[in-house]
Amino acid sequence: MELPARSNEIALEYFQFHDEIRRLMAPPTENASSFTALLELPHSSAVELLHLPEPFKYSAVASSGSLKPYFQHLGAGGMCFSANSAPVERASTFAVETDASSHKVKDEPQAETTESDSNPIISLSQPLLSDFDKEDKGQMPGKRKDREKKAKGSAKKSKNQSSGDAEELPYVHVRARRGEATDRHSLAERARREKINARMKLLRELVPGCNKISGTALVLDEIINHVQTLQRQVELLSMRLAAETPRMDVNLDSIFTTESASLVDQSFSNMVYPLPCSDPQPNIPRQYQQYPWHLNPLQHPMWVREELKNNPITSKNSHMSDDSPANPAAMHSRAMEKDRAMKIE
Amino acid sequence: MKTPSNSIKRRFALKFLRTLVRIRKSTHQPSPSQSSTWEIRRRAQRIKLAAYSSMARTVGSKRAWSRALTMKLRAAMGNRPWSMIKQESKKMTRRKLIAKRKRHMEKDLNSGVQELRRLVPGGQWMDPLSLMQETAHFLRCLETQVRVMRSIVAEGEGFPC
Repeated sequence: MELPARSNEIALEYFQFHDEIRRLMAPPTENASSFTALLELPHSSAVELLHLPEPFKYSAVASSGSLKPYFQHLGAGGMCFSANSAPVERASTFAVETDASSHKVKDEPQAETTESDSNPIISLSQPLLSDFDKEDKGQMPGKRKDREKKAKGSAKKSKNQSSGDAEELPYVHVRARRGEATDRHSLAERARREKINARMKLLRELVPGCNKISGTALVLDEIINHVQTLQRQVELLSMRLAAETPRMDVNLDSIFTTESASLVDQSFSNMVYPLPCSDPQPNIPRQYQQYPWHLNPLQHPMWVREELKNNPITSKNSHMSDDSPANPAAMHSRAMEKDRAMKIE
Repeated sequence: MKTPSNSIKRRFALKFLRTLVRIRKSTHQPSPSQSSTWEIRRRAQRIKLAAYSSMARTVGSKRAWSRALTMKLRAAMGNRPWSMIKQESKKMTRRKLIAKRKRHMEKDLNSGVQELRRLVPGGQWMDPLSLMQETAHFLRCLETQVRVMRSIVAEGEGFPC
């Protein structure tokens, strides 16, 4: 599986860049020592905090934010961070690469189009944030495993999302975004909401014209409308079929005989069907014919809505009498009509 | 949809045509010339039920909605009313509670979801997440059903008598 390998890759890269960053950050460490003491964070992350714009420092410490808001804000504000270009460029390309698979696609062009100054910060913040996540959990040891899993598992989850999201993992590791609560309930709710959104996307693709509508409720209404339309169409078509009975008798069997050809014409795939010679389920026609006029008290929903206002008993009797001659007669008449159909064809 | 050799379309088409032929045979004998609106409506009802049941049988027991549909159709047919009642009661006691609790939890999607529950067979006892999955599959099958029926009607009306 490529996913654990990738997370291992990421972990390795983190360590590599950690050393490089330490080397880069060597000069200003004197300044940061007091700051480090205040924040109780390692030097490199403290320095990185120093160079970030003001409002983000606190949020970085407070929450385990993802990089998305960082990207946005870094793109908006200017950066005045200067560093060695070579390792930083490598880092930036790496950052862009790892983010390619995540759902921060729209931030990529942003990140790329902003100045080169902002890129180093982005790349630096990424490995350092993972340090944050891992060290911040000194206070909450219970959630450490979760967060660590999230740091490496966010790639997993984002990969799964990008791969179509049709399947569900038994454990979906959700990364807590910036500014959102991180307790278990809201995490679970968010996971649920994301599942619902995935399903909604599926449904949107099925129902024509839903792509323009934004908002879940309206899309749901559209879906309901579509389902109702289809059910009404089924009713109408069944009425038409029922009305076509005297004509259809011959045509149906001709359809049967030339089923392969007709189905091909009507955009079915072209496979020759063997004609069924015997009724495989003799029980079923009996059920249809004896079918009851006590649909009324059951009060079915729309798709079994009964339109029968007259329920004479005579029909039932006629159905019962039809039962026995139906099956043996079927084969005989079908053979006869086959000949007729051949003549017509 | 799926593999062209045994897709839902073809299987449904075959089953539906077979049942249609049977209905033809059965209704043709008593009164071929008489075509009152009542007769037509009755036949239309049977054809509709035949369409739904053949679709349910084509899908099999893989989907919750097809199972629920089969159950309801069997109840409509009067197959074995007491077994149906037992199934219904089992479903209701267990799942309804779960569904009710979940319905209380979410309010924003509730109205649409309620409507969807009515439309999709078996939707009353499903949680909203699986309900959407079932809706998607149900929608696809409905579309194939309509397409097949339309093609049959077109065939019937295309041929001169």
